[in-house]
Amino acid sequence: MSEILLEMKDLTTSFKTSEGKLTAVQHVDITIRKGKVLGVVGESGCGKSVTSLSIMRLLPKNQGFIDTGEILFEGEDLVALSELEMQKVRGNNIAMIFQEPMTALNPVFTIGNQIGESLAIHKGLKGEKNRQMCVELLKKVRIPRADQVIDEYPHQLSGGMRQRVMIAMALSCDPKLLIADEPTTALDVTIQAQVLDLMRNLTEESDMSVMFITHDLGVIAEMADDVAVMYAGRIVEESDAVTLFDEMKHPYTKGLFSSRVINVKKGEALQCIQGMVPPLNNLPTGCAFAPRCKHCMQICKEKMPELVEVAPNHKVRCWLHQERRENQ
Amino acid sequence: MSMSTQKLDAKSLSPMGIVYKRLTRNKLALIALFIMILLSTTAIIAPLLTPYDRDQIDMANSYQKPSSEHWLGTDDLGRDTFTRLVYGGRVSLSVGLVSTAISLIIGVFLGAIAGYSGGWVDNLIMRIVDVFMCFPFFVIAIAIAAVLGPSIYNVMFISGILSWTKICRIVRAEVMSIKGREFIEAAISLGLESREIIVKHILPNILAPIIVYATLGIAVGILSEAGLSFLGLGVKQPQPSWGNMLAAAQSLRSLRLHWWLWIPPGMMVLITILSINILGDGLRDAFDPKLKR
Amino acid sequence: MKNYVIRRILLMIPVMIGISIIVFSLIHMMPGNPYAYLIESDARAEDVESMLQAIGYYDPLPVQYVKWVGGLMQGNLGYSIKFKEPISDMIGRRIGNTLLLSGVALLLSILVAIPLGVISATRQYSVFDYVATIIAFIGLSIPAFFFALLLVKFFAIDLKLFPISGMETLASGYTGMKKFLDLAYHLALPVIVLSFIQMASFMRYTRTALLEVIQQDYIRTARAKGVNERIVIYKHALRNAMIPVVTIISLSLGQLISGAVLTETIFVWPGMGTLIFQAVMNRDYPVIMDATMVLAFMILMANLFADIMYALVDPRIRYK
Repeated sequence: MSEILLEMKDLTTSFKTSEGKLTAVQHVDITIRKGKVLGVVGESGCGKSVTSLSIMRLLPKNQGFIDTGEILFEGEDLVALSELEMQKVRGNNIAMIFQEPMTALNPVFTIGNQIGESLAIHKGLKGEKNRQMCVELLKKVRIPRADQVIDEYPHQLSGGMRQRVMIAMALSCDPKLLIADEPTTALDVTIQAQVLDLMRNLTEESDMSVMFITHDLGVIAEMADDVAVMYAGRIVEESDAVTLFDEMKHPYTKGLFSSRVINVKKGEALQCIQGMVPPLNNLPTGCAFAPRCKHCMQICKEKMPELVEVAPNHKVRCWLHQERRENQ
Repeated sequence: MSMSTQKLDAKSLSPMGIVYKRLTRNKLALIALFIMILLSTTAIIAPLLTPYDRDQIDMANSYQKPSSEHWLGTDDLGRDTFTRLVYGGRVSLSVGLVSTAISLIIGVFLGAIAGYSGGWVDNLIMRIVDVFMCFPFFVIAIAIAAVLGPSIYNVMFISGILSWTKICRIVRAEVMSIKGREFIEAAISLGLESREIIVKHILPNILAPIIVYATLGIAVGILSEAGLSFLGLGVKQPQPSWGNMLAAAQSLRSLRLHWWLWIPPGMMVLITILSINILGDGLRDAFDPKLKR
Repeated sequence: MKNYVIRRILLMIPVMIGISIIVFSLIHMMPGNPYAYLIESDARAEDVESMLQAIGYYDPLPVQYVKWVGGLMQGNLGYSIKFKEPISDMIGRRIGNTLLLSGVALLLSILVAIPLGVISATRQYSVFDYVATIIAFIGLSIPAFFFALLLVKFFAIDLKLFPISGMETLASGYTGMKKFLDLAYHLALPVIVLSFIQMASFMRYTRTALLEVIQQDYIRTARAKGVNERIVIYKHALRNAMIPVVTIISLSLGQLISGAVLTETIFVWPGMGTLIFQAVMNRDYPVIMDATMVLAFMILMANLFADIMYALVDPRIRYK
């Protein structure tokens, strides 16, 4: 087992809204190992983005709050850092890529200006050195005509190119952790494959850890060493990727897996999970997945199951497996 | 997260119901609405509010200070200022309403045609809009007023004819964006006439910006009445309007000594326009909360 | 960028023609013989007749229009009927005063409004934001001339802090620094009136634009890079928020010049506003026509300026 880079303990994050307080993430524990890729998977609204924004401490101001928990990054609690100390971490030790490359770049500054900014802030690189470094970074993410692109504006680039620029920007200060929040979702399928390919190569050649957020189990299979499955603000299953794909236990994980198009043979109907993610202000008592679960039992509707270890490094939050273990 | 709760609201309420609910949540807009209702009522029942005649001249009692008898004193001809203020509200509010109606008719008509037809018709109408937008509003207004002579109807006309460009552009843009949507294409393929499509299918969909604009437009009308009448080019004496009452301040002596002649009508204009602006802003938010945040 | 500007300039031509036709027909709808002033009461009827013939009073309207526009293009603005002096001289003497007044007012309102709008937006729903919003609403709602009257009443008449009207202390013979201070002293009240009203709208626009920009993904990107919050606001957000604000500021130049008419009249400021108002009162038609055309041209130039500024602050337009 390799060293631990980031350890999140009992994180609860909530939002203040006009309808009252909404808890988006509840008692989440996450561990990211050095040099490994953690895939976080779940439907939209399950709290995976909020979890990553909590690490970055970039929750919407005056709306999102970390209620409890600690986020230990190399032993230091990020939750306890001041805003100024946190600014030294962001972009430097922890960098982030977002879902929408079309809007994530500032339209009024050149590419070079935007990449160079992190270099100037964290590495103190100025002038010609800064520029050279930017061109190198652009080449590293395989952007053609790097020395011209550096002087262009975001609207002159395609979506795939912009996402490469975002990656170059994130990598600029050699972060120890890269958080990628659905980095390929907004891209065309062929471009998706290219960008994923690039990201895999980049992570393989460095000892950077990655937290890869997606709703697509296929991407997880390609990228991740460890996997955490989230549903309605909680982790429902986690283990290393190999174990998960071989012995997935939670009905929700199985549902996600079987609803993938790739798993359907010709002539077979596409499977899907019935129903919708419950709204956060109206979570059922008991297991949040119970209303959609094929194996729902009486106890599921009454009590929330604990996240229990069913095998070494394999945890599941489900009454089916909890009872089995207790019976043993 | 708030998205999902909004969706829940939307299910249980009609669109107008949502607007109503959002508007009633906005305290400031409610106060403004209340003031507007109060002002309109006052203007309508003006004769019941005061024992004096609007134009009753009483030279023996000119320039009286405010007293229990004359709440806001009397003017140079001994007329009761409060009475004239209440009647003046009638003039100012009706100028606001009528001029807005004129600009709405012109603006919506031309805007709908421009947006719906496109091509050279659109081009021509938009150039006319450009011409009107480049007019120094007040300069042209006083020039027209000088041609037409001072009267309440001319003020309504001038203000209406000069301020239709904004709504014209809004309607054009909205019509253009709606024209491309599927339900209009469906209507066209069903063989409906253009006029019918515009009136029955497009206009109801752009009611929100029209209502907001109409509200704010009343303020423009009241402001131009005040300005023109202040210069003696608007509503003619002895008919009182807030603007021509303000003209009392043209005399340095009244400006210095008789505050009750010009500060009350000025404050009335300010309060009215303030209420309209706040209400208009509130309506805009109620129709489209995205605009504010 | 060059093509963009040229296209904009070409678009101005039909607009200018439209304006001139409307102004021309408007003036010729005015009742009465405008040249009555010129005619001495004891002049013989045939002299009057031949004089009217000479100035083209009997020409068909289209001919008169072409003559007038032709004159305008050559900078020949004709003569004032009332003052019998070249209109170009009259406008020349006053246009600078109007530009001075509106220029200072514009500068002041920008310098105050943008920082206030930024503070209001970054502290949304704070006490500061509420107070600023209410003041802005009052600024948007108060009739300029009423505000001017209030200032004159309290600051000039009651407190005697500022002069009631005019542009300089008459017969003072001030020179140099003293002359400048005297001018500033006379400028104060009219500038406050004009800038307060502009300020309100600029502030609202800055606040709204910034609040919208702060929600954008690229602001989150900047924060994720570890950029200091102050730089996030003043570099990344403000630069984008300025795109609509610059447009509004440039477009309001016309409004500012037009709004100066009433303000100038109240403060007896010797600018284009008082010139036009007096011309209307005197039925001095050539002056009304020419001065209106000059103002309309200035507004058009301001709009062109707005378009160019818009392209300068927004690279997406620049490269089209």
